[in-house]
Amino acid sequence: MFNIRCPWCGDRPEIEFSYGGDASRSRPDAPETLSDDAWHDYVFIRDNPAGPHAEYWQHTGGCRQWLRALRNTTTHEILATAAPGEPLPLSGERK
Amino acid sequence: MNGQPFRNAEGGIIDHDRSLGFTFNGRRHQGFAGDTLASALLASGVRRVARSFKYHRPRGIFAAGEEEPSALVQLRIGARTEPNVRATRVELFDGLVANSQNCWPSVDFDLGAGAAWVSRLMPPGFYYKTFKWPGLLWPAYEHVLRKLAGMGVAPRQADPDRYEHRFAHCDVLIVGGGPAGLSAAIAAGRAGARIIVADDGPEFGGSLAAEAGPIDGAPAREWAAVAVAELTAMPYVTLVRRASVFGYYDHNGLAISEHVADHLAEPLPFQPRQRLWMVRARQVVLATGATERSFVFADNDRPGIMLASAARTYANRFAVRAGRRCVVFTNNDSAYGAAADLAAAGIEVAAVIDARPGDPGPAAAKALGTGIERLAGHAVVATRGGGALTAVEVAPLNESGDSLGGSLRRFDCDLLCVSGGWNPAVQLHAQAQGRPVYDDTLAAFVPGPSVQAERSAGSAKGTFTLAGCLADGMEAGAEAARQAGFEAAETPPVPACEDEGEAAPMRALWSVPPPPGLRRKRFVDLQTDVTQADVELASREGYKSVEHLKRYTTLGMGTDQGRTGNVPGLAVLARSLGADIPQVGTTTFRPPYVPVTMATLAGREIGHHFQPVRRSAMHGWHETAGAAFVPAGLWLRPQFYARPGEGLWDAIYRETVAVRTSVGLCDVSTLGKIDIQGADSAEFLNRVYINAWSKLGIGRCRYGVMLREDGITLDDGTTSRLARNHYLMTTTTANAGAVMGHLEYFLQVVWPELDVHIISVTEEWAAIALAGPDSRKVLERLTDDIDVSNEALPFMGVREGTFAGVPGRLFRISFSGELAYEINVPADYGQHLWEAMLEAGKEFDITPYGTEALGILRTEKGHVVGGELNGRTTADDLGFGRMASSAKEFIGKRSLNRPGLTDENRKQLVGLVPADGKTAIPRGAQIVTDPDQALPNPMIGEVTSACYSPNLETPIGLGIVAAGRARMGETLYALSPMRGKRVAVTVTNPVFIDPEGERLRA
Amino acid sequence: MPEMPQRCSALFDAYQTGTFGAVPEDGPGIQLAERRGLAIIHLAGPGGDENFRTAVKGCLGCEAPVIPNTTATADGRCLLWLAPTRWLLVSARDAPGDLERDLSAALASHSGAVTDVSSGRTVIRVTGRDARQLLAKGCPLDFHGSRFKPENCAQSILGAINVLLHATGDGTAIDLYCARGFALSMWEWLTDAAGEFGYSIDVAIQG
Ligand SMILES: [Zn+2]
Repeated sequence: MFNIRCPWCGDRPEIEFSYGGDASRSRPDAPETLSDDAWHDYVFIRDNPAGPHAEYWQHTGGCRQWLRALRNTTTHEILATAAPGEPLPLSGERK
Repeated sequence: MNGQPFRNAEGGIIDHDRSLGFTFNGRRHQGFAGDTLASALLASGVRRVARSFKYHRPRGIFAAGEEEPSALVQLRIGARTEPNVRATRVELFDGLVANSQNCWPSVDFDLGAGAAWVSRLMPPGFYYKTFKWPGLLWPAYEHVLRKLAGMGVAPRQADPDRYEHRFAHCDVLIVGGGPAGLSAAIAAGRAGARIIVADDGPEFGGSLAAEAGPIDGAPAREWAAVAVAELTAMPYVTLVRRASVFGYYDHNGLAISEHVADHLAEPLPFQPRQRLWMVRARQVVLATGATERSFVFADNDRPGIMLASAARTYANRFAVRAGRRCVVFTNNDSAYGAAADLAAAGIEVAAVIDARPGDPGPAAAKALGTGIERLAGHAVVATRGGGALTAVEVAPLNESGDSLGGSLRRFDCDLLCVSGGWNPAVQLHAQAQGRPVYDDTLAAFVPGPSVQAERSAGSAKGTFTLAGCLADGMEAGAEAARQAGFEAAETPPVPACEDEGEAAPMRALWSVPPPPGLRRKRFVDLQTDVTQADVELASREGYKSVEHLKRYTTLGMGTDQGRTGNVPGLAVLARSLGADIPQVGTTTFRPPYVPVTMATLAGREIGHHFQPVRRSAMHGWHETAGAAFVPAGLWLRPQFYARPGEGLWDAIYRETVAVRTSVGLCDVSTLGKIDIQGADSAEFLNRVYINAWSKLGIGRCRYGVMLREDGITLDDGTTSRLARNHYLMTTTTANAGAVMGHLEYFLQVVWPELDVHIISVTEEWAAIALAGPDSRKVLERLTDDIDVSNEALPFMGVREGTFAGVPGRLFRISFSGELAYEINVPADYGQHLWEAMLEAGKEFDITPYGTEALGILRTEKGHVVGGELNGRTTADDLGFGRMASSAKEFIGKRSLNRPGLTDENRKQLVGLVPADGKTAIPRGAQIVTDPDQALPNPMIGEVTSACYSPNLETPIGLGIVAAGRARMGETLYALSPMRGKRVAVTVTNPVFIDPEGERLRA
Repeated sequence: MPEMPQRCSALFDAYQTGTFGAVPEDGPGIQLAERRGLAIIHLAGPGGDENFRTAVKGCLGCEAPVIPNTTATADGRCLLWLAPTRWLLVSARDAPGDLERDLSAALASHSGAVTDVSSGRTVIRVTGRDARQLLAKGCPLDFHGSRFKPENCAQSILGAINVLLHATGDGTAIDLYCARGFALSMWEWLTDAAGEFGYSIDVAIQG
């Protein structure tokens, strides 16, 4: 029953969103240039942090925009959200 | 007043002039408007109300509020009957019918009770210990036990009432409408905050209604009435009565069950019986009050033993004497006021037994006056009585509370009022991840630091004076408003209350030792019949964690969630372990805080409102035609159209043959349709499909396969080029939503630079497949602006034109393998076109066909659907390997050279026919090479689709089989051991009909 | 060539005017009416591009709003914000095909997409003093007048159905847009949930 702040629509309940997976990494620009190991890492290997975790969500019950959210997996606190391409505040990443 | 021997002629806040009749255990009684079932039963002199859960001991009314552990009744009869209802929470209505639970044949004479073997059978963990073996006998045990155990009966009929849900939003939610809650509401409301105040009673005021002293010189209830009037006049204030906040969830989401019509014999027309509120509050004030608790002593469960505050409530609020002669047993000052009120109500107070050796505080002493005997440093150690209390035994208690000194003294009484201290109601605070902390002075858990945006006020946080509760509430309400953005919120002045003086400290006393030689049950948890001996035994057996203890003994697992029993249970466990109570800690508090009916949680989502249904534009026609429907996701699709006298298979057979021999039409509106526009559309298609799209001409369509990033097939379908930068993609029905989200992800997140716009147009277009050798002839009668000849419109051609007067699109595609078309028109014209097609096809005996025929036709043609696109197959597994373009990148391509995906032993799509030409191939069967091999028999594949082919007149199937393409002609076995089936199958090409594709190009 | 037939609403069979439910003395708390015959066009394009917005306004007389969940109305046409690059154009005075063609032509030199979805949406107008209470039964939006204001729109869920809500005019009438396939389910949901307030089903609004 938590809320997610859609960067466009504002605070909306979780039931309007669909989970879209780990957002701590982005798709490599040229997969064909990657080593097998690097590609395997990208496709299959996920961290399972107890704490802040960058995630993709899609506002499927709203504007259908994809967004990134920084969610504390132990408390469900949503620390920040951002449009794709925008830096995700508090996540430690740089633009 | 003869019918109500325990009712005073005046007083209380009931309506003495409005008499209500009700029936309890078949006997007629009278009560008054404003009564609860419990107060009315007490007024009538009914003392034994229920039998206990495990031991079937007689139980009476123990409390006056939601904490009641004992007086659980079966309320109402018939479809509206409800088990485990607390008599203290039932508002009396005329004609109410209630019955005792857990007793057979009756509450006064119960076969289960008194029998010593019952008690011996039921030590803690008794199910684990006693009836574990032999398992086969369990049904026999169960049959006997069910009669003796259990908690009332569920209704057999469907619930006739309505249950509603509603979402709500507020700046401040105030839980509880007593002195602290109303004060908080006044403070937050005056600041202009949008507030919701929820109280579980029929009227706001809580203890102000009858138990509290004067405010500003007038009765407290008058102050409450003024406060409610002020709140009612505020436009942004919502007051919800009979509303229990039962759950505190993430992000300040709270759930309330509002008992809209439970106080009526039945709801008014269209009135919901209960309403579930799902509230999102910026700030929360928990003014949930506190619950009095009892002590553990021998036979502390007899009817007539009651919380002191409850007896006081019955006297003050309901003008009911809970007994004739009472003894008060306390360890704190609060019971003195209760004793005084009971005496004033006409109950003879025989003695006040105070566990504390010293004097009570001045206010308590003053309240008690001089006429009542008081024994300091004493405790009630045992009780007497048959069906109900007749006397108590009292003895001096030593300093540490673990042994008795001196001789026993007996007091005859029919009411024992107990006050072992107060537990602030910290449950919601704890559900909100707060950690209650143990307060030595109060001998209770009080709210700890808050994690969510909540604060407690009043007795919920351990403030027990009236002035303190009012001040607390005012401050909490103002603070909550400020935190919610109303920065100017001020704390209103606290009205004047009587000076209650300093209370004398309480004495932490949990359990009173029994008199020497007396072996009687000493209950910790009245509802689940858990005794001190049970807790001690469990602790000796190693259940040292409070969470384990709870589950092993069932302590606190009743419908009251251990409201009165938990803390004493913790104390007993702590002492048994030689630990402190804070070391033992509490169990985790979880919703629901109070019992909630399943119907309230379900709300409207029952019957045909259980989930929404998606219907195509032709649905009405299908219904009229008598189609059987099958769900496909949320869609309902026609499965087949049986004619009168026709069986299921007859219809399917007829529909299938019609498509192969003449012409059929099928509603395919459910396929996903995605409109793709923009300068980079072809590039986008190149990236999402494995095959190439740059050279697809306008007016042409192509079959495409798309992969997930891990190389596994996601979906397939045709995509048409409608204009230079305009495409229409189709997806399978099942994957339409997933494909849309997948494409949006790549466009919004990965390739935002692409000039591509996509939108689902599934719902815009009604889609009708027209299939069969005569389909072109039908089409010719439908359109006059498209040349549909084979030369002008070859296979995989696309045209826009007019069909039966409606502009639409025509696709020459085939799922069945026959000459076939698909026509799309705006859905508002779908039924018109469908009917026009039937008319146009009359002379060819055009036949509507459903999903069953569709499935057979595609299986005959070797087309893959969900069974084959099962999330484990690659494009190559399904025979599409050569479609993958080596000249471009596409999603999933990088994974295709992973060793697991290139293994030549991967399971590949094959056709299967029975070796004997006639035995049906079991759907879902495992495929093995040698059916007689020792188990576990290596499974080299599985049957993914199977049917009888009316056109080949033999059973056929599709399967995925290890290295299947190299096994053509091989004989394998399809095994379905659960169904006892074993069929020899021959591996074939998966395309059974017209493998060269001559028909669809005709 | 046969004449173009009438458009057929998804609610055609179920629609029955009258007054239903627990109607209080001061009349039903809810009025329901379907809006029929609308042109509903999905517009996609670069909302941040001044030229694009100028072209849209030039064609429609109506701005493409850039503030999320707002709408712009002019001259019988309304543009509702759906996403940073998407709007729904609703017109009671245009034929769907004409509007799609005109707008496509106006935007021919721009990135963007114009798609007729007139058949794919069912529009139900909810009015009456209890309209927002009714919607709050199944929609998690905050319907308080200070939050869902006149000419606001929002996409959310009603029951379990995706819905676009538009507070039209002074905000007393709320138009619900749902996918055609779900229209009957939504209608059944609304008429069941409205029983408590008493409701009327009024003659369908043409436009
Ligand atoms: Zn959004």
